[in-house]
Amino acid sequence: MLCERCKQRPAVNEIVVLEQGIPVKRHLCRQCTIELMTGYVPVVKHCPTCQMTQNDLVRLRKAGCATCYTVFRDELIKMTRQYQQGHDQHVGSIPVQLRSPHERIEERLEKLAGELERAVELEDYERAARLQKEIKQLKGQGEA
Amino acid sequence: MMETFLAHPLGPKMKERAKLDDLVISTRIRLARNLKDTVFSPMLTKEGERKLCERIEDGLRGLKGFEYLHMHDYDAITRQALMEKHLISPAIAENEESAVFLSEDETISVLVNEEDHLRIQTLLPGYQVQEAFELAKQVDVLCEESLPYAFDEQLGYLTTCPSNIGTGLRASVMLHLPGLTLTGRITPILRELRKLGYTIRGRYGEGSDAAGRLFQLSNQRTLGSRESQMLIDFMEVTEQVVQAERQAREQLLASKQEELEDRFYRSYGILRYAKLLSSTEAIERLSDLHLASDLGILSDWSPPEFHELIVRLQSGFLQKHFGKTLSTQERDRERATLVRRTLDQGLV
Repeated sequence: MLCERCKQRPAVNEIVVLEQGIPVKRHLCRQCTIELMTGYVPVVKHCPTCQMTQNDLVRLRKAGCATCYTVFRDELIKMTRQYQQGHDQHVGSIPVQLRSPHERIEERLEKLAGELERAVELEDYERAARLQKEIKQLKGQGEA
Repeated sequence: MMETFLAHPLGPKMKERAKLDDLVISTRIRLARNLKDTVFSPMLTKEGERKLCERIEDGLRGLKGFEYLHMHDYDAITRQALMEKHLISPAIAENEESAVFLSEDETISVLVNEEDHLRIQTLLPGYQVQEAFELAKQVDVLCEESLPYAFDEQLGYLTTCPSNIGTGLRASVMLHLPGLTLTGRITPILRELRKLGYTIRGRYGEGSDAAGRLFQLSNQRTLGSRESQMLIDFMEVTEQVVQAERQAREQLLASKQEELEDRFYRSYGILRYAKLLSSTEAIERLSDLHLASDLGILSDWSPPEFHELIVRLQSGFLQKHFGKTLSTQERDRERATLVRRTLDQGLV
């Protein structure tokens, strides 16, 4: 169930609040409960898309959405380095839609080179010859 | 359609013989992907999960030869049996608002609402790391056509947990390592593998033990190398473990043949005559028969036959077979009966 006040976060408390002087039962999230009961709006960094707060991030060690990687960039990169043996730079494949034609050819060439190496290892020379031909053709396209 | 998937413990592809399949039972590749315009699992409500299932079902409708199975349509036993076949993960089995696109030959599972929005998983028999990756990549490209992936120039494919970020690629092999276990050489090897950045654990992943000397080896780091390099490194490590296992078996055979044979026949005796068999004991004893068979001592079963029986004896699959919930004792009784009957059809 969603919080009846912010309509964004899950409701975790059932609280009686005064609305125009009348007591009403409301299901509220943690943050709205605190805001209503104390009148204090905390200045905690939070993600505008998924509402994850910095505290949530530290506790869960997980991101709440893609925007979190912008909002909590420093924290998430630090966590990434911890998990990824110090690495923080992606060098692998990228979505097709983001690739240039040149990159697509490069990627295919790299894949074929790997296959060629394996074919030679396995002494499958017929396949190796076919792969070599394809590599040659692709290189021609790349230069054109 | 679910009934077809659960009619046999192994899918059609898994029954085929494959490279190194006496030691490497299966190879799995997993790619973790999320959508850029949808909140990730920790912040997603049940309603959000439902909507995501619908959206992905809609987006992937074009995938030919796939069946869409929504978990809320199936009971817990059915879901558990699917998990025992490794067609879905434990997280999917536990979440009613999750789904799987399953290929008819059972080699590809696209899991929806796992820790990440999508987990593209491929499963092949034996040692087929490159092949499984190629298959996963093909599905990845197809999914990408209709679903906008969350991608960051520096960090690559964005995942819920930074432990999967970058390539989102996890390669794993299921290994049968009785030689290393029986000679005690497994402990330093496990330590060494962990130091090198590889994870090794029981057959159902996190938290499960290594019953039947079955181990799942996988890469830990998903960022900082190209996919092709990660796979090469992973294969190098796997082949070293395989080599060590072969040496351990030779050593056992050379120095302890009599004890080994005694062990095999004891296990055979128990499997042949026991009235009650726990899942752990059954798998342990079958592991002995598997090794005996590999060494040419006892039987002429093929590795897929052992693998098939091991899945058939799991709690979920057993209960699915009987079409009802069974108590632990009933399960142990039925398991023992099933093993007896199978052995009646000949082994030695």
